[in-house]
Amino acid sequence: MTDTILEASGLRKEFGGVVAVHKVSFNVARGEIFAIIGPNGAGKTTLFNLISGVYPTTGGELRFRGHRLARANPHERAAMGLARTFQNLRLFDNMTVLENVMVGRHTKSRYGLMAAALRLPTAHREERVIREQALKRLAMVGLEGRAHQLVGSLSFGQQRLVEVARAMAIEPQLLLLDEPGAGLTRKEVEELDDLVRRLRDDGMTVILVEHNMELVMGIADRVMVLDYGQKIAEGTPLQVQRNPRVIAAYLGEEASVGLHPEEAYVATQ
Amino acid sequence: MKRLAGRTNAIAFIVVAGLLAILPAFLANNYQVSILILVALYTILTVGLSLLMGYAGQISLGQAVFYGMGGYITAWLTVRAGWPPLAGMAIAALITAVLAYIIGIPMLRLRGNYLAMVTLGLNVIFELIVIQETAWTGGPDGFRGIPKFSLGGLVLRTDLEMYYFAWFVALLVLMLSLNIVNSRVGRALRAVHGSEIAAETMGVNTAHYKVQVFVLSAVYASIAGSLYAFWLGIISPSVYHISFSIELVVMVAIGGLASVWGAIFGAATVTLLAEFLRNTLPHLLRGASGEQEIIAFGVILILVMIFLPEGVTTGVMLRYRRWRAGREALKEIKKSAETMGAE
Repeated sequence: MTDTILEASGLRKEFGGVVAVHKVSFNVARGEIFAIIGPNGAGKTTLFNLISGVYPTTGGELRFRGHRLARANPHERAAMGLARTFQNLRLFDNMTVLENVMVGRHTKSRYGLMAAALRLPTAHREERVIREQALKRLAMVGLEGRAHQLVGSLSFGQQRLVEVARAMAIEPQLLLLDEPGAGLTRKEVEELDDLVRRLRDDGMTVILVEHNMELVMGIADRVMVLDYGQKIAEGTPLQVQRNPRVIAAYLGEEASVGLHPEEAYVATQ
Repeated sequence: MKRLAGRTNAIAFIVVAGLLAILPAFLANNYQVSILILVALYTILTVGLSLLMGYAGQISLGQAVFYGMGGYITAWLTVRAGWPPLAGMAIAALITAVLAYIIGIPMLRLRGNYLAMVTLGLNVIFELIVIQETAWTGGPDGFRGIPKFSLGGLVLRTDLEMYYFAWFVALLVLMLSLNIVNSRVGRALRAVHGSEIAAETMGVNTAHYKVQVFVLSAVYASIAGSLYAFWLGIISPSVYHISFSIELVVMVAIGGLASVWGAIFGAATVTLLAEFLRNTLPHLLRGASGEQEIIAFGVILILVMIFLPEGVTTGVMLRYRRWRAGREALKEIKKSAETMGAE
C-alpha cells in the first residue's frame, strides 16, 4: 500500500546566489493526489522543473519508481512515465489541437525517419493507433470537437485542457499539473476536478501546483506548503488549513486557508 | 485534416509533375532547359535546408560543402575508380552523411547557432581544399571528364533527358519530405520548432532529431551535387563558394521555413532572378559585372527577414489564415451579441 512513486530528499536549487528551493524532502505515494501550494515565488514551479528535468538540481536526490533521476534528460523521464503541463502554456502553436496531443504519444510509438519517409506499413499501423489514442484523450477533456483547429484559436481555458490531454497521452504514471485551474471558468474548474479524480481512479498519481484553494482542498489527499523555497507544512488538507505557519505565510494573521477560497486566491495574487 | 492535407498534397503533386512533364514543349532553347535543371537541383537543396531551418531552428551556411562533396566524391569514384554512376552517387551521399553526423552531434547538442559558425568555417576549408589539393580535385581548373549518368544500358546524354531525371529525383525528395513532415517524426520536429522544452518533456529527444534533419539535408545536398556533376561533366571550386550557401538560405527565406512546397518556389524565384540580374545588371549599371546580383539577394534577404520572417510563402499563408480566423471570430462575436440582445 505504501508504494512510493516519487521520493525527494534534501532537494536544492540555486540560481546564482538565490536559493529557490531549499532542502525540500517529501514522498508521494502511488495513486494519490498530492498538492503543492504556497505564495508566489515560493518555489513551486521550480520544484516541478527539477522533477521534470528542465533544470538540473543543485543538491539533493530525486527517485522516481526507485530510479535515481539525476542524470536523466527530460525526454528520458517522459519515457519512464513522468509527464507535466506548464503554468505558462507551452503548446505547439504551429499544430492543430489533435496534433499537439499526438506528440504526447511519441514515447508510445517507435517508427523513425526511414519508415516515415517510405510510408512503411509499420508507420501506417502505428499512426492509426497514435491518432485513436490522441482522440480518446481529447474526448476525456471534452475537446474532440476542436481536434482539427489550430491550437491558438482556442480559448485560454481550452488550451490548458489541451496541455492536460497532451500530458495524459503519455500514459504517465506520475502527472505534474502546474496551475491547471488558472484562467479556467468555474464550470471548467469543476470539469478539471472531475477529470483529475478519474485519472487517480485509473491509477495515475497526480502532483498539482495550484492557487485555487477550493480545488486543492477538495481533491488533494495530501498537501505540501512551500514558502521562500522551504517546506513549512505537509499533511491532509484539514491539517494544513489549521497550521498556524501556513496561515501566517498566506494571509498574515486573520483568515485561514481554504475557508475563504476567494480571499485566499486573491491574497496570493 | 491530415487525410485532407494528404489528398491536397497528392493532387498538388500530380499537377506539378504534369506541368513539369509538358513544360519542355514550350521552351525555346537549351538555355531555358538548363535553367530548369538548376531549379530542380536547387529545389532538392532547398527542401533539406528548409527542414533544417524551419524545424531544427538551425542555419547551415555550408550547404555548398555537401553539394560539393556529392560532386567531387562522385567524380573521383566514377572517373578514377571506374565505378558506375549510381554507386558513386550513393557512396558520396553516405560519406557526406557521416561527415554531417560528426559535425552535427556536438553542435546540435548545444543550444544556439553554433552550427551556422561551424558550417561557415567548413565552407572556407572546403574551398581551400578543392583549390589546393589539385591531385585529388583538379584544383582551380576543375575536375573533368565526369561521365553522364547511366543505369544499365540507359545513358542520359541530352539536357532534356537530364531535365526529366533531375525533376524525377526532386519530386521524389519532395514526396519523401512530405511523408516525413506528416508523420511521428515530423510532429516531433514541429514540436521542437514550437517549444523545445515542451517537446523534451513530451519525450522527444530533440538533439537526436536535430542531428537527423541536418544529416538529411546534407544527403539531399550531396545527391543534388552528384546530379550536377553528371550533367555538366566538369565541376570547379567557384561553384562551391560561400555565396552559394548564402543563396540557398535566400531560397529558403523566399520559399518559406519548414515549407516543403515552398522550396520549389524559392529555388525557382532565386534562380530566375539571378539569371535576369546577370543579364540585365551590366546594361543598367555601367561597370556592373553581373556579380553584383549578390547585393540584390542581400537586400531581398533583409526585407524578407524584417517583413515576413517565416518566409514569403509561409508568411503570406499565415497572414491569410489569421485574417480569416479573425473575420470568423468577429462574426461569432456579432452573432452572440445579437442573441444576447434578443434575450
